[in-house]
Amino acid sequence: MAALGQRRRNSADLECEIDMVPIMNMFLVLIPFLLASSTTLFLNGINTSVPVMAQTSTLQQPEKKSEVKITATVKLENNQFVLQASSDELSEEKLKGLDAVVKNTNGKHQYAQLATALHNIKSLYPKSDTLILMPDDAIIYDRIVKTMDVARAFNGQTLFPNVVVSGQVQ
Amino acid sequence: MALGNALSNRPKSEEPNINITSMMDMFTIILFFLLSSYGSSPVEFDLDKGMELPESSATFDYSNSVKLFLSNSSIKVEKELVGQLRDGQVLDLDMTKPKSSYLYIKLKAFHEKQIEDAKIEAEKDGKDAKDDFHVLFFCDRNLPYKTMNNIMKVAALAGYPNFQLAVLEKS
Repeated sequence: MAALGQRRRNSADLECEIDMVPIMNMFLVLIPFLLASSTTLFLNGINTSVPVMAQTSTLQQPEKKSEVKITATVKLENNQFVLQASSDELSEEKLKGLDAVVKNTNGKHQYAQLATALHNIKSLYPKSDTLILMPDDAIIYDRIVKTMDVARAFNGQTLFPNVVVSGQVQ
Repeated sequence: MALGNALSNRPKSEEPNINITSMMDMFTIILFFLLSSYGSSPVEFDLDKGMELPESSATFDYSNSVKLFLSNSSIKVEKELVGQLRDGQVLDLDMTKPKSSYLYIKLKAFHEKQIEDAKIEAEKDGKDAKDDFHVLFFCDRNLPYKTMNNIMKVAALAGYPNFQLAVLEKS
């Protein structure tokens, strides 16, 4: 009995050591490879489109008055934003009331003011979802992207998710 | 000889026992982190030197499609040079005859190939063929709208009226 107990104790005392060296070697090869191929820049995409000629369908149902949709047009000029609202279902007078001109202050573009004007339209006509951007020829791409950001959402609130970029018709 | 004896008589030093468990733990964490970030960015982009993308708050993931690169000196479709720019003007692009430009020809060829592939795919799956292809557009942040507008018009003519503008996540 004593001999059996002795044998059990001896087998439990045996330390089992796993050879970690090959695993370490593999890690040392994998980590530099993955570090070299990892990206530090995170790329995203903004969906947009250019206007195309479309055939009108006579089968389209007329929209209800309660679902008035406003199409906002923002002209990007060198020293200001010009916001104009358009809709088939509202009078000229009502649409004029939604228009706004946001001038630069101290040479800086006032994106927050533009967002406030867009928010005003969105709160009155929540079904509105399309905005047409009309930049001047000299406007740089960076400013177009910043304006798109403001037009899509401001302070976490969705404004006009569909932004279409269009050249001005002279 | 005396030195040889002294060396042989010296007690043998014990092998140092380094505990590598903590290092293994650290390596395992790093490896899993790198493996996860490797899987989420499988596409490599070959941007021109000096080309800067704009930063945006957009959070949409880009989807892989035909890539159009517009830097301040060149236009590339995928990796092929299709045009050159000088002072913001696209050389060899006559906007009165845009269909004669190499950019149009190249994009049109890509579009036709995508339609063909989509048809084959749709026949396999028994679904309608997809036709809403878009261009993933990489444009230098300092280029004027006039330049990019001309390129976008040509792309729209070639069958790509929808664009995905490639932007960098705001840091």
